[in-house]
Amino acid sequence: MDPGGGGRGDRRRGSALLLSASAQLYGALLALYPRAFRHRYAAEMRRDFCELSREGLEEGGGTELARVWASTLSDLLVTALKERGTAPARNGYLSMDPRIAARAMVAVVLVAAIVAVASFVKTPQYEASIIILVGQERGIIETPNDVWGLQPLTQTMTEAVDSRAVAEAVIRQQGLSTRPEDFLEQGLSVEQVPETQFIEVVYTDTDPQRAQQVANAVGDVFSKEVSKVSPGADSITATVWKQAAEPASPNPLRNGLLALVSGLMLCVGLAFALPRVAASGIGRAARRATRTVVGEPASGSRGRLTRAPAAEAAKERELLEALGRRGALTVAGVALETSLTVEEADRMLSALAAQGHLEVSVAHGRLLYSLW
Amino acid sequence: MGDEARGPEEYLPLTPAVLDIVLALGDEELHGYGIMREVRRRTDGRRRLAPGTLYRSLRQMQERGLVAESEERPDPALDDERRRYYRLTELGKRVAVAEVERLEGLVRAARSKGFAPSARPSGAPAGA
Repeated sequence: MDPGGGGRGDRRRGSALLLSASAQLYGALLALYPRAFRHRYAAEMRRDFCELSREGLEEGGGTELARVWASTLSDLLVTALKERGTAPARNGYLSMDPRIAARAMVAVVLVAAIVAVASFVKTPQYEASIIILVGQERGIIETPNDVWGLQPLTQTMTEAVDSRAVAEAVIRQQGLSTRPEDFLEQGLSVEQVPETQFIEVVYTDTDPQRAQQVANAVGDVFSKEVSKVSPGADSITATVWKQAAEPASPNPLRNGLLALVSGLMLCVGLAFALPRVAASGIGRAARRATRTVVGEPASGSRGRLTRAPAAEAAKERELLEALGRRGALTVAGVALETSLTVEEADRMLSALAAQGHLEVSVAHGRLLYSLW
Repeated sequence: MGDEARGPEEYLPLTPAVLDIVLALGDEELHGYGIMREVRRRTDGRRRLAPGTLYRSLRQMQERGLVAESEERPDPALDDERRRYYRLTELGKRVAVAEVERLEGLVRAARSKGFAPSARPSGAPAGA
């Protein structure tokens, strides 16, 4: 006997569950990329992320897995925005106040938790499904040409299952108190399994037993109707395979993850929108600051100099718009992006920064100015 | 796709991620995860390519004709046959050489200004 075997087994199962949940969440987040990019690379990215997670967990446990997640998530958000062509200049996304970002993250997690809890108190729904095999007396057709011939027929049969006649017969047989339109619209879902002779019928209800009975009744009614209209040796058949009803909703994990992803996307959107909104507010404050620098006293103070000329205000607006557009710029960058000279850009940026209206950082030995 | 009429210099400078990919594919065809591993191995774990940056860079490199998907599949017994392998194209190799020349010129200019490794300020890490 191995006394530690159970513990190791539990740990292995725990790791497998963690990796599986991790992969599912990453797979869901890949939806942030444009469809074409996803179509081309999502499978590979997901597979690579699984490898990275597994390797991280093996090498450094949960800490390393968290590091993998942190680097992958930030990379995913930035590259997804770049792929969608909506990312501002480099590091623009970092201009959000870290305290605001932290509060936003806490809010997102709280909302996700509330959604998950709310899901538990919602009336549960159950899905019962059946599979109908459309064929001829010979059953599943194996000759390729025959299979292709039966697929349009299966499509027609799918439409027939989803018809008012079948709905009325099932309502009558089961004594349901619903109208055929509502039955078809709200409870029943009928789809052909692509490129096969199978039709999947799903019925949703708050009572699992009733869901199962109604789904089965749809199959039975339809099968009888088909045998009535297609008698003979080479007749069309509709064979019904029944399955047990399963809880369909609420799904707290799915709902919580969806809320988490939506919240994260909202956070990213705000991270970009806020600096621009702030830019308009800052613009007003900055105009006051600039007027002081260029010689005009701030409102309410006494001074002998005249108001800044309109051209100065226009240049200042240009400067702020360039910062809003590009995220962070050097003095030379502002001069290139606007009609300002290097001297004007330097003077205005220094003044705004001195007043605390701009953030100043150093990268590669150069001063970078950005909106807070 | 890549415009063969353009000279390799017109693709310069390469971003750090693209340069990492070019170096990883320099002597063998690799799949995405293989490229990540190679970058990590070559830099002793100091640089790690995340999937988003890797595949975005690969998409751009494919569009510019610097890399292509390999048509030859490895032995399925040795690897996952669902993976796509990437290789440097002739243009990609020429761009890599041009980038190395550019970097050599930069290093020469830096050395001429006294920025030699021996002049590193005391306390600065070697890898910095």
